[in-house]
Amino acid sequence: MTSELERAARDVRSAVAIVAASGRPVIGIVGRDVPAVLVAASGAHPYRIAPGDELTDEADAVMGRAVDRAASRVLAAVMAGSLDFLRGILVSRDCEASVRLFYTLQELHRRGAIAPPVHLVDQVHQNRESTLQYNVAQLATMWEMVEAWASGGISTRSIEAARNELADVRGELERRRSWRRSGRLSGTAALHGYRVAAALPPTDAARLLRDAGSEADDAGFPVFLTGSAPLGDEVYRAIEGAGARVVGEDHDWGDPILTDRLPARIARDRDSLLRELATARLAGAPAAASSTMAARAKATREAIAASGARALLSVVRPHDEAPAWDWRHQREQADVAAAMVRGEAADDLEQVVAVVETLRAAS
Amino acid sequence: MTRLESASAALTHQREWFASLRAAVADGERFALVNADAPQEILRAMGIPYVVNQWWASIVTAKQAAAESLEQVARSGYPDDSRQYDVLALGSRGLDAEGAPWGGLPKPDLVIAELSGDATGKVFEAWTDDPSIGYFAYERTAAITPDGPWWELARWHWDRVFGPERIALMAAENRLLIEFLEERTGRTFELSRLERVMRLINEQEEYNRETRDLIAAARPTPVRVSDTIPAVMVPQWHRGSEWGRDAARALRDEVAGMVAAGGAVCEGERTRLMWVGRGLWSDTSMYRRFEEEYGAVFVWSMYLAIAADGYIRYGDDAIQALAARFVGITDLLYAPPLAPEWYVKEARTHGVDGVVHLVADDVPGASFITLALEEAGIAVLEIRASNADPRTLDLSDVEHAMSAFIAGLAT
Repeated sequence: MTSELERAARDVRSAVAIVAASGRPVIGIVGRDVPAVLVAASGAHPYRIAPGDELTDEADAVMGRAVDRAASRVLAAVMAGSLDFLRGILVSRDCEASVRLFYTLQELHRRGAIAPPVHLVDQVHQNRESTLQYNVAQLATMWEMVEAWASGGISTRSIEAARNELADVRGELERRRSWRRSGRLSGTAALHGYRVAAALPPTDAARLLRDAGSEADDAGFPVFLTGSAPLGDEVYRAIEGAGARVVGEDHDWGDPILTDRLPARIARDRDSLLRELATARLAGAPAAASSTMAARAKATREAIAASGARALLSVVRPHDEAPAWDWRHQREQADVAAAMVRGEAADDLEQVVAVVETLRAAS
Repeated sequence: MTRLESASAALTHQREWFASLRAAVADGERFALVNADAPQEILRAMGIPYVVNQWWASIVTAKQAAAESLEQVARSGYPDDSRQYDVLALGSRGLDAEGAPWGGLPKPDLVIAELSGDATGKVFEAWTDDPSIGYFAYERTAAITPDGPWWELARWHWDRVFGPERIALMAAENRLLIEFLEERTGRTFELSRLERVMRLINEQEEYNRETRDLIAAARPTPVRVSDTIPAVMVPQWHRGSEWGRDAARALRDEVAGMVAAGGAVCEGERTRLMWVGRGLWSDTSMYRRFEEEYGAVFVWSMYLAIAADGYIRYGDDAIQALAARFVGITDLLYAPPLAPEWYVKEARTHGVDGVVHLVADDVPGASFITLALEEAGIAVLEIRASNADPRTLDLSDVEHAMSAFIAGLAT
């Protein structure tokens, strides 16, 4: 039976469109690197955009086919007018596909071909003071952009209120992560939770997460998933349908969301606050497209240990370059059975399932 | 046979220089491998020899060693279908002595790159599987929209093209690179030497600007693109040296002489073409067949044009000016709206009838370049291929498509 959480996860866009229709500004977010707390503090609702179901033929013609489909599907949704309810779209520099998406959206908007304006939150990723200063400047620009789009000012008080609401959702997600690690929540259900948390208003998301509860104990074969961030839940369903359980992942629609800290205290001066936000992302779990292979391998090893996984599975879509580079060191350091499904094969769920069977036999 | 003495001289110099580099490295000299989009001027100022990754990739490709180099990459556990051009040097280290072009690339002590795309940083990190190799990475930041034509602003008013924050970040990284190099090599950085390097580069690129303008105005075109590419690019790899500056001046003088003498690549020039994107290194003779068959001449490639418009930076602070040269150099070639507007400008000033646009899989904004050219009334043929991986390219298909395109322009 489909749960309320799952139904919500599968159609967040409709729910968010209703929020926009009610008069509340909604600002779209692409990627993990945009701090939603700033958007919420402006009075707008931060809606993290997941890849939609629109056909990508037109998007491919504009952006090219050699780009990760996650970005093409977002572009397709914008070009189809499905996201016209947005006051604007903030795009992360989390991977090359997002940067391409930004350039494309910016140019289409300049030409009057799409409705929402777009802004790149150009946060870069090295652990250096110069990087941090640049990122702070980028967040300051984002601050002003969001205020203009939302027609609302951001204040210390509004940030604190937004932080508290988001912290409630985080609390629910953390509870679910502990259930998951103790075998009481499937990876698919966890994924649904993250989707809802990133897209719906915090009070709605927290209620859905709270009501969803845990699941019956499951002794499924525990797998840690790396590679491309999933477009929907199909890959999770296939893996778990084969008797495995996705106990953790390192893509940006999963557990890494919880590693980007919310500000512990709200500094009164803007630069200090922005510095804390920028630092939080730099200290979060390393993402494939913006981290070294060494950092990724170390994080994978630690996450496998924390989640109790007995196998490492990498599913890498075409044109998602970074995970394949990470794989050699991830595999070498994982200390569990490991396999990668890459390219066109990653789109074939039967092949994904076959690899899961291989991993089970090898572990 | 090349028609340009400048090109022959440049290629001769490059062979001699590389042989001397190999000898120096054999004697214990430290050297760096640098990606083309990362600043090389600090190395020049500190007297640290370097090889530009893309130059070496072009040599590997021209010597038919790309496929074997990519197989070496795969054998070492990394993908051979990602960032092929960037990774050829890494793979070429596995070639046997007989198969390695020019005697082979020595092992670098340092590698330097900008974190462009999702994997360039990983390509360069892979060099550090050998722990004796040090790695320095520059951040890659995103293009902003300039408040005017960048090719008019970039020489003096670079902050209006690239934004002060981007320049400040890269300037800070330039200072970090200096610390890294001083620590790794024991050499000392002197600002006055960097200032001299920057002056020489501005002189070199001003000569390239004059050469570009001469070719743009000449009818018929006096010189082949396949000739100007080595005559421009080899000196580019030596930017900041007197040899580089003098080579650019020699090219300017030679082209001026050809224009004055009414020289023509193709006596019956009927169609003027522009090549947008990276060159197809492995078969430059293809251009000649189009000249003979259709009177069609390629009059433009990005190599001379970006040298002319993209590199000159004047300013009192050499570290900042250097940052302003590199922070957006690839944006100028690929990112909208900077790139499309520039290609249209160049197409118009060169009086081209059509454009062949090689769309590589690792560049953004290609469709907007095509669109802008077409909106300007210029026909475009798009070729989708990687220029580095011979396994993905069927040159006969490319030639057929180009033949049909050129024939269509002529009617």
